[in-house]
Amino acid sequence: MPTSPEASQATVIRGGAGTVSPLEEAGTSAPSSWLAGAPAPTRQQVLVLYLANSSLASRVVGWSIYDGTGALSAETGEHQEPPFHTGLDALCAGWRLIGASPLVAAQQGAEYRTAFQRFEFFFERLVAAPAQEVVS
Amino acid sequence: MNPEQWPGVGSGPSRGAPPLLSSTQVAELVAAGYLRFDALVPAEINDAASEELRTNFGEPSQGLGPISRRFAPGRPLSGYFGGSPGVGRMLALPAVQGIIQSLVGPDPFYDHHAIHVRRPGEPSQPLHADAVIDARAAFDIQLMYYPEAVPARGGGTLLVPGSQFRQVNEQEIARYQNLAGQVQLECPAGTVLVLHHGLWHCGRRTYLDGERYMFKLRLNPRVPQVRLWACEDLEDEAVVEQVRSILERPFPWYEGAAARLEQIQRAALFRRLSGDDTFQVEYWLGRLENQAHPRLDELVP
Repeated sequence: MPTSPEASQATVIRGGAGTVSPLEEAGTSAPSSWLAGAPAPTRQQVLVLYLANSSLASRVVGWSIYDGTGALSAETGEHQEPPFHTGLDALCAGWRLIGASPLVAAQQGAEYRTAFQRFEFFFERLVAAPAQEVVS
Repeated sequence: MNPEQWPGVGSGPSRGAPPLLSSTQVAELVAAGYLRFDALVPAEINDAASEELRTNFGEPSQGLGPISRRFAPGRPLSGYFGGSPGVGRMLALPAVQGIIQSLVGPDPFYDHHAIHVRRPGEPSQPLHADAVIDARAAFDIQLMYYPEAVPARGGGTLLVPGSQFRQVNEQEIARYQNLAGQVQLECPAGTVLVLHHGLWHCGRRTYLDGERYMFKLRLNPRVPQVRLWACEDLEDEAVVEQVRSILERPFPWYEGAAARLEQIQRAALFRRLSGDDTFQVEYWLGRLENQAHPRLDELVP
């Protein structure tokens, strides 16, 4: 819920009844009025797949979901099985690729070190917005 | 009694040498970044520890999660916890002393401790590595003690096996929700985990009615971490082959090529721990050490 006087007067568009958005779960403030605006007809769902190598046809080794409808949880460690076996499978299911991590040469002196997942692919799909409720 | 007035863990009568870890157990720690000891602690101590954690060591809980009263860091563990009927007795168990001594040596430095509570309705923590990015070859250990059973959907800690060498800074990895082969901890009462400090982990949401408690303790070595365990078994070539097999094992979330780099990290750490600078895993280090100079960048401007 809005916490500041300015925000409390804003018209805030929320998801359908019973949904809790990841932002709300994380304790983030509700959007301000200039971001709320008129309700859009669709919402973006973002799927992040981490693959075994730089090919989209390689095996999924990690995955995350961020759901603009607020219906799917964005919490850590909830699912033991990946949504797709490969990145290509996601394309075949209608997800659109919107980003891929570049191939970056190893830094001198750190050639044998490891850190973040190297092969990160962002996908999206647009889905119908959930039934709206207006909270004033 | 005020916890700061407790006698230390090591102040009681000597119980003899604690049982040390084997070489294959140490190899497992090097490969996976953690060891798990189910139901290691007797029920009587678990009951006392549960009471301590639920009342914040005898003080009425303010519902704050980690207790605010921490001891001075960088001092010997033997100075702390000795009079505690739960956590202190857990730490004094020969089996626990043996784990500690095998990995960070006798009477290591106390770093910090915390009581971690997962309450119904709280979201999971973001995936993280504790403290800050840490480029030391030495490693600290973190004991995680669960005095009560952690059932499925009870908010058990999420562990990412084999993540301890990845150089990341705390919550930078929060974007990663799920990694293949992740461990959603379920365990009986009295379970103790021991983690390499770099292991990725987080507390998960509990879907049960009650709270889940865990006591965490970080310890720093005061001696070089060389041959601290019962390493005589390395005289047996069959044990060495077992060690090598453990250190070769990939985890499902590794990128294919990075799995080889992880084997290099493991081989390098096991060389340091064992004092054997000829130890090989898949000959990755041996190949790179052959005619290592000049490097290409010494020849090409």
